[in-house]
Amino acid sequence: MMETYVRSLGLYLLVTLSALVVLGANTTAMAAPQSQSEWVQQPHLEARLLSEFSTISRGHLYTLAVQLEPEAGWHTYWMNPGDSGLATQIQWQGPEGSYFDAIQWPIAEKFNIGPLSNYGFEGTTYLLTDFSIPQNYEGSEVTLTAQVDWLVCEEICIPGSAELSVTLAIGMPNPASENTAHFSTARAQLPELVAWPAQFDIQDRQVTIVVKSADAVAMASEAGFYGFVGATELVEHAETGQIDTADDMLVLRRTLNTYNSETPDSFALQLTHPNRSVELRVSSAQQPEAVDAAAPAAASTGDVSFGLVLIFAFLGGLILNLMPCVFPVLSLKAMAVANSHGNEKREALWYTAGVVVTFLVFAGLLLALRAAGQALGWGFQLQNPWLIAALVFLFVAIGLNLSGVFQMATRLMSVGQGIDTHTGAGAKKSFATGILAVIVASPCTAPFMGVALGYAITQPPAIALLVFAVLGLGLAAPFLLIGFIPAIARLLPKPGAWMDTFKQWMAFPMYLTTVWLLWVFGRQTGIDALTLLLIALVFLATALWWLGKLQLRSQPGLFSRILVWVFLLLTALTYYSALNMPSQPTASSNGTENGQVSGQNWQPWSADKLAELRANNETVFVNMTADWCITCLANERVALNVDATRTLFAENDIVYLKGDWTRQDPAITEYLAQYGRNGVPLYVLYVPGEAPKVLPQILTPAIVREQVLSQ
Amino acid sequence: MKILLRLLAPVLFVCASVLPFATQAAPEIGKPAPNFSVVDTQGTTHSLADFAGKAVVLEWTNHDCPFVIKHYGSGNMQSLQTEMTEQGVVWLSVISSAPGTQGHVSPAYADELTANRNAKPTAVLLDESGEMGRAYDARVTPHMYVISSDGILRYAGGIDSIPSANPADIPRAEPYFANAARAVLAGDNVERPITRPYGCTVKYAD
Repeated sequence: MMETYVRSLGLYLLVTLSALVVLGANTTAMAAPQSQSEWVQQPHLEARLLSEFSTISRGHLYTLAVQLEPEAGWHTYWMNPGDSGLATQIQWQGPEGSYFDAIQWPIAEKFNIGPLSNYGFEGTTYLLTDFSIPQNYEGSEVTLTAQVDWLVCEEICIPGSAELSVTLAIGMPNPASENTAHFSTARAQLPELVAWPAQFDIQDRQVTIVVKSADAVAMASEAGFYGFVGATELVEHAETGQIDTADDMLVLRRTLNTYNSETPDSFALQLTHPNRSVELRVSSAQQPEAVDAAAPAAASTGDVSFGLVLIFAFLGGLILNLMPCVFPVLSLKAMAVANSHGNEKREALWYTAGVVVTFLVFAGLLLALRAAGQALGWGFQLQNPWLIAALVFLFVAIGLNLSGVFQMATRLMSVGQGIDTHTGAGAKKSFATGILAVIVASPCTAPFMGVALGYAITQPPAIALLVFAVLGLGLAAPFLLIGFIPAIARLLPKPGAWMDTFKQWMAFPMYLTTVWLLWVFGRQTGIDALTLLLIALVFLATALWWLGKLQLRSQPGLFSRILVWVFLLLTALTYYSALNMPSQPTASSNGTENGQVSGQNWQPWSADKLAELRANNETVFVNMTADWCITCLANERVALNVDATRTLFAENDIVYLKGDWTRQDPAITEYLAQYGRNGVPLYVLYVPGEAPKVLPQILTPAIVREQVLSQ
Repeated sequence: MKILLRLLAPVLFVCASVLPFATQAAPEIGKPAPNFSVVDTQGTTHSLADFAGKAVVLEWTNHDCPFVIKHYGSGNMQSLQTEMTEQGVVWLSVISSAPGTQGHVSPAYADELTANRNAKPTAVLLDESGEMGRAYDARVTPHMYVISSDGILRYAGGIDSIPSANPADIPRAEPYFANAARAVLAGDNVERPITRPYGCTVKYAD
């Protein structure tokens, strides 16, 4: 009874409301659609609103324009008004759910007032805004209102505001022909939107903006070129700043604004000269926040996505199952599980736990070792040639092992055959079996563990642990699967000779990895050091081949055993001399003879190298840089990596060392601290017999020259 | 070649030093505030040293500027002046408008403005040359500075957080200047010592 009453009341209300809505629609319909508002007169400026279309459809984007007509000599302001003034603001009103985009600002002009500057617009100015009305809008017309607030200035300023409305019909879109000319003028006043990569950073109260585009470089060479920074109080507005170009890179250096208190993540930049204007976004090139000494280190080589690494770790774990000393065990266990009834799921889970825990313990051990190493000052990063070279040895050894040149710990392997005797029911036993599976399988799994190890040693602890856990999960996966779906056990291939062939196939990815590592090493050091490392590899291969031959004999002679060690020693010696090879000899050898310097003229920095050069009374220039440091990049392109400076260094026999702090190499952190710095760039000039000279953080060829020559 | 380069060095040095790295002398927070010596509407010359031991507020002003009108018309500026001067703060309103520009006033008219608006500055300084304004890098009216009793600059920037000429925004804005001045008087650190100054350009002589 009550319910019916409420329902009919609801129906009544609905009907009444609908009637009101229809009535409302009718009243607005009486005002004829108008795509131009009335002019609103205010002191020194009049304003109106225009619509590009007189009839619009729902859910699509159309454009409105606020037209400002200031008196001659008066101007309104851009998104960044400069040292004073206010950007024009528009607040939009339309039906609920309407969308209004940001103002599309026209090309700005610069107005100088005494020592100060403003950015804005004189003459007829259109502020375009895209909008849409919602799909569910029900009226046959729509009224859109702009509440516009501006500041109009000559020498003096007057604030003004206006409420401007247009009413548009809903239906088949139809342009407002009376406004067409206005909109084409308005669009001609807009800068061309471009997506040129651009970044900025702030060092030493200098804002450095780098735009990577040949077009930007071409624009900068034109008369009347200027860069309008669309952030308030970021740069000093009055100055033009310093403009440099290098190849396809435009470098704008501006003084940080005295009243800078907040730095935006990104801002709009208008580059303009009388014949072309573009607008682009410049984003902040901030130093990575987490300062982890062992952060991912694939800087010179391109980052592998972390998800991909986890997939590979899992696949790697799966492949472990196919290794000759794991697979027979797996198939036996699989049969046992498939035939047992009831507890197989629990057993499979405990087995998995055992495997994963063992892998984690192993990873933990590795990380502890690494931490100990770091405390001793070893940086486990791919910037270190010694680590790259060590990884090269590791991978070649793994490859040779997989190819069957030599075996790993054959005695352990025979123990492994007995694994099935340890199997049994019960959680503890399964867990123990998991642990045992890992240990016993280690002769076969070691090669793959080596890959994971090589990766993990360069990673932060959490990532390294995760990689190992996933590797373990991969190893346990078939078992887990069989535990839950016993029928799968029948699908497993039978153990056989194919396993060995498969293992040998796996050697080739290892060799490819070696090639990649050698390439990294070669780039870091040079062709001479690379050649020495290759020789060391030949010695290593010889040692391992001989070891393999010995493994086949029952009683190898003493001399034969010594021979293995001789070749290993030769490997170590060659490795050592490869690392101590003066890298990139190009700079020192051809510098003085002909004054022509080409190619890379710097060597990687290390504390030892610097100490050695200074002990030899060499003049040394040290540049500490990082990929994310835009100031550093700009300095290199503008002042260091230019012919004038190369020649200067060559003629004065200056050894140029460069340190890369992209991944916060602790050795460099320590070096920076010596000069009271905790960031890059840092430029230090060492002249024999003089105190080290720290150069400014903003360089030009002239500054470098002056510092070098005033020695 | 090396000798030639050495001979060239002084020339290059000069070239390098002309590079556009020099900026306007910017006032620095935490450093001694720039000194000044400017005559007020009574003909008395004031310098920063005269106020040693007292906190000093500098307010750049131009009575015809809409942003100044916003804060005087609403009584906001006067109430800040009263609050500060009652606590022994020296409040100096500074006019750096050059003769013939907006905001430039005779001493008598400046006093009349003070009386009419019921303003409570300690003194109104007439910086016609713009020397004091440039020393402080004052850019707009109103532009606010707080100097602690030890002569150190503690705040430079806007009066509040909403850049507009609309008095209705005053209660909604975060009062940057007032917060800074109150912190200095309480001996606390100023949370935001530099903020965006907004207003009309100071009408300096070119």
